[in-house]
Amino acid sequence: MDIRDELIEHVPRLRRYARALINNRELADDLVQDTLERAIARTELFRSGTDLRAWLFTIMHNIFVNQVRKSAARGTHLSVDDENVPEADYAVPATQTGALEVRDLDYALQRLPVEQRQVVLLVGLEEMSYADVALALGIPIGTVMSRLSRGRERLRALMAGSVPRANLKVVR
Amino acid sequence: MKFRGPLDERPVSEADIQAYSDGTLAGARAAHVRRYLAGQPGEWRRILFYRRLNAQIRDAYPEQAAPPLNAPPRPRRAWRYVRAFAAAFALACVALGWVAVSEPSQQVLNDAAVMALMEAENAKPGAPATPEAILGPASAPFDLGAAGLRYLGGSEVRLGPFASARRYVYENGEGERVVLLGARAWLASGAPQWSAHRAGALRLLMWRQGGTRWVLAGNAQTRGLMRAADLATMPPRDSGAP
Repeated sequence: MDIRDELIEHVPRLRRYARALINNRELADDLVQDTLERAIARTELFRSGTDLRAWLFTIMHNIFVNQVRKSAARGTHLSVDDENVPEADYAVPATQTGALEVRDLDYALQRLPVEQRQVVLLVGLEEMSYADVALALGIPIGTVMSRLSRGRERLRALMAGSVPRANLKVVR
Repeated sequence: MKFRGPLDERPVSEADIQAYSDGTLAGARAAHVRRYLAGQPGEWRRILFYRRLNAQIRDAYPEQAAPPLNAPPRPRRAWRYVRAFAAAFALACVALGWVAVSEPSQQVLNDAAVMALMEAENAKPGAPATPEAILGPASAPFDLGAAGLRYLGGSEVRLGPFASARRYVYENGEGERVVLLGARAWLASGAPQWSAHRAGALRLLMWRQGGTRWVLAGNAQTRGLMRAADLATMPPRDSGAP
């Protein structure tokens, strides 16, 4: 099978992941398109026999990181290491039934630092192994685990239903 | 205290908890974690949340079908920006065009001023300047009392399908009437000093100030006409001056 045919098979997953990651349909589809274009332009760099999906996610990650860097230059970006921000500042109100509504999930996911969101989605949504996540993101597996743990704990806090504090913060 | 179990086993780590939640922990290690969890109901709740979270994420974001191969390619981001910019530019042009056609030219305003003056002079003495004046704005744009002119009334006057002007009628002590017309002139440059134009027995005094084009029309012999133009174009004085 031609690598282009294999690429097409991965498009649905790439689109799903991009839309969960960005929460903006237009920008997510742009990210997928950029990823596919770059993959097609560099097919000679792909080593046959290796995991095409991990390779595609690596490309998508690199493009996304560049976009985040550019947007971070224009606004505030929360780093994964920013532990000074209390969870309550990100908390979303619990639904009346306490169920994890899709809307709340999406809202909470978008409030995770990008680095944590990527890991939580690659593991939870794409069901990638920790080793593949480390490969795709270019980070040590220990970092994957710590980001996964922090991200999930932050989501748990967000979805626990703490009422956000009604204070105003001065941001950059 | 960390759960250790048999002495030859590694204590349960956070990585074990995450892997157990994801179902990726190997058999013996998974059993070790299960034994640990048996005495940790809080940890169990955490794991259940993680598992439920994974399922919820997969339900919330189903796979997005790839567009068919014969589908037209998505327009590039830059092209979309170009289109948005073009749309905004076209909208701005339409708005500018509307402003342009809805602003009467100097000639149109002059002609309207002459017509308005004739209407005002033909009205009966003692009656309101024109029938429309009864419905006009209550206040005059300028107090021309110092020039001996009393404000009678004003109204809106149409100058075409899009343009309009405001008409104000004044009268001096001899019963001679003058008409002041004001129209929007956002696109015209300012000309705060009045200039005069003679049309037969009539005199037109014109100026532009604050985005408004003004024409004051009256008989050339009307007392107070030019003084009124002076008053209307005079910069406001400091009221505290002696």
